[in-house]
Amino acid sequence: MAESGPAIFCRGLTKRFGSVLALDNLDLEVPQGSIFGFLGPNGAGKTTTIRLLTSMARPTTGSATVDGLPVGVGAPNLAGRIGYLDQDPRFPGWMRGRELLELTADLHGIRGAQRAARVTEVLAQVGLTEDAHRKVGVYSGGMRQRLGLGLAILPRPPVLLLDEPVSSLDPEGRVDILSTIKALAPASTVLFSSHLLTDVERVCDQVAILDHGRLVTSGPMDELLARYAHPAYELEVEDGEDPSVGRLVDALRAEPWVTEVRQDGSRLRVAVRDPSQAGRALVVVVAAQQLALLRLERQRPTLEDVFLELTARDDRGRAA
Amino acid sequence: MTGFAVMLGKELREQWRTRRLPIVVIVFTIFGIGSVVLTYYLPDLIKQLGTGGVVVEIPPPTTREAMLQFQDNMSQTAILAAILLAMGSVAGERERGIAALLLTMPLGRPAFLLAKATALATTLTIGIALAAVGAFVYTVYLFDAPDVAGFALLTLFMVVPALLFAAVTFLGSVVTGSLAGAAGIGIASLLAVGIASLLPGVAAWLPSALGAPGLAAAIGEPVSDWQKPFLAALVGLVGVLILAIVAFRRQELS
Repeated sequence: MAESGPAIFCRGLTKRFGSVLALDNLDLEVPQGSIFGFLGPNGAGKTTTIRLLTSMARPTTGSATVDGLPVGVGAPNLAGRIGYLDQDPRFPGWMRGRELLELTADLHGIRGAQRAARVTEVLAQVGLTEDAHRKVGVYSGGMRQRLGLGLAILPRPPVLLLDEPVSSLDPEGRVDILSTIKALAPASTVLFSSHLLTDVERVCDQVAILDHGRLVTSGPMDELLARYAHPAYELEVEDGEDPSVGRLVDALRAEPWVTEVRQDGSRLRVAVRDPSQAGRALVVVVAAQQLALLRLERQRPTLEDVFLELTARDDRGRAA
Repeated sequence: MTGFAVMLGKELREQWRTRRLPIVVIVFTIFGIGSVVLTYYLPDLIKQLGTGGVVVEIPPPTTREAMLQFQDNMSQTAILAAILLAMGSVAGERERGIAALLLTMPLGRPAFLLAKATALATTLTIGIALAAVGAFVYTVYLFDAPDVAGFALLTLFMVVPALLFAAVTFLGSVVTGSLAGAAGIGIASLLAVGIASLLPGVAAWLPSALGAPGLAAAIGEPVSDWQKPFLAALVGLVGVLILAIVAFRRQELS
């Protein structure tokens, strides 16, 4: 592993497919030992970035290094330094799960008793011990994703590039695999691409948000939450009084300390500038509309707030 | 070549476990033995079919005719099988993303390709060799025994052209990245060789020119004029593989 510097470094990385600009001048630094959430809606450029970082694709312009080595088709082989999981992993259907892990171990020069022990350990880590003897051709999407993660982590690479690693898993499997991924740091740096904000929030300490091929922001999760997520309250009023709830929404939007109101039936999410002032004033506004307040709760800012705020701002900027 | 031995092991197992090798051996052996047996029984078959009162004198078939029949049938079967086997070898794994997965591991692109080519060549060679053994045994039983060393040379002269067409299709599989494209290139090369063999100056360098010396060797006659087509096929084989490696090194993978 490179002793100093970021685990992944991109400077002006751009990828164009004909007239489509898939990745636009990406500057990115992923600190060593971090679990780095790579967020963005579908088509944002996440997979394109990962393909460039694995040397499967060639950048149109710009450059990148992974673990200190330059990437790109024809660049020195990064193999052994990266573990890669595709968003829809496919394997030779005739092989058994254990055989694929053994093949991976062989390619990485892990032999003999060490190989058997490591394969058994990884099968347990990804929850495939029971199915290791089955042909991969009969694996479900979730099982393929587990196996793909197993192949990626088996050689304990310094950098892991995981493209939507839990998208095909059921909720229970998702929790299991996210815990496994979380335990990989700091020995490995993990680039975790996802459009599922809750997953990223659960495991990542650093985040970058990509939209329409451009980096919108990046940094430590706490900093982004503090900088972009407005404090918010969630309140719920008595059901069955829609016109009154509508009046309440209008009244709240008129208040100078309110930045945004989102309505879902009789539940409102109110983003505010000053949480202390809002805490006192909210009850008064609700009472003025003669509504019964069922619940009022201060909300912890979430990555979803940051994401929606920044991608909406990005859309507004592009439209202007 | 990083990872070649491991990848070759995987590819050879794949040839066996996906039944490609057993199927090729069975089909080739049927064609090999069938050619000899058919030659032996051909006069009887013609008699059975009847000739409308016309008396047709058919001389008893000889080892030469058995070898010629074996050579004709086996050469065509082997080349068609070579095209069929080679067309999906790279394109299929690229389409399914398996190539990309393996190539993020310590496996060089040349090693990836050469392991696939070697496994393909192994299947074809084993298939033709076992078919030849079957044909040889039946020839000994039904006719006079062919020359053993000459028969081995005849077999070698069938293996090399099959490998050449496999390599051309393999290159097509790499360059086009599609099964249909690879098959198209393989079949087009077969047609091109057929047309070129009509040209006097060129014909002596083509794989089809190995037929006559191969047959002569099998029946113990002097062997001549094999060097040009044999060397041309070997050079072509190596050249096509080098082209495939060069092309693959520069390609983006999906």
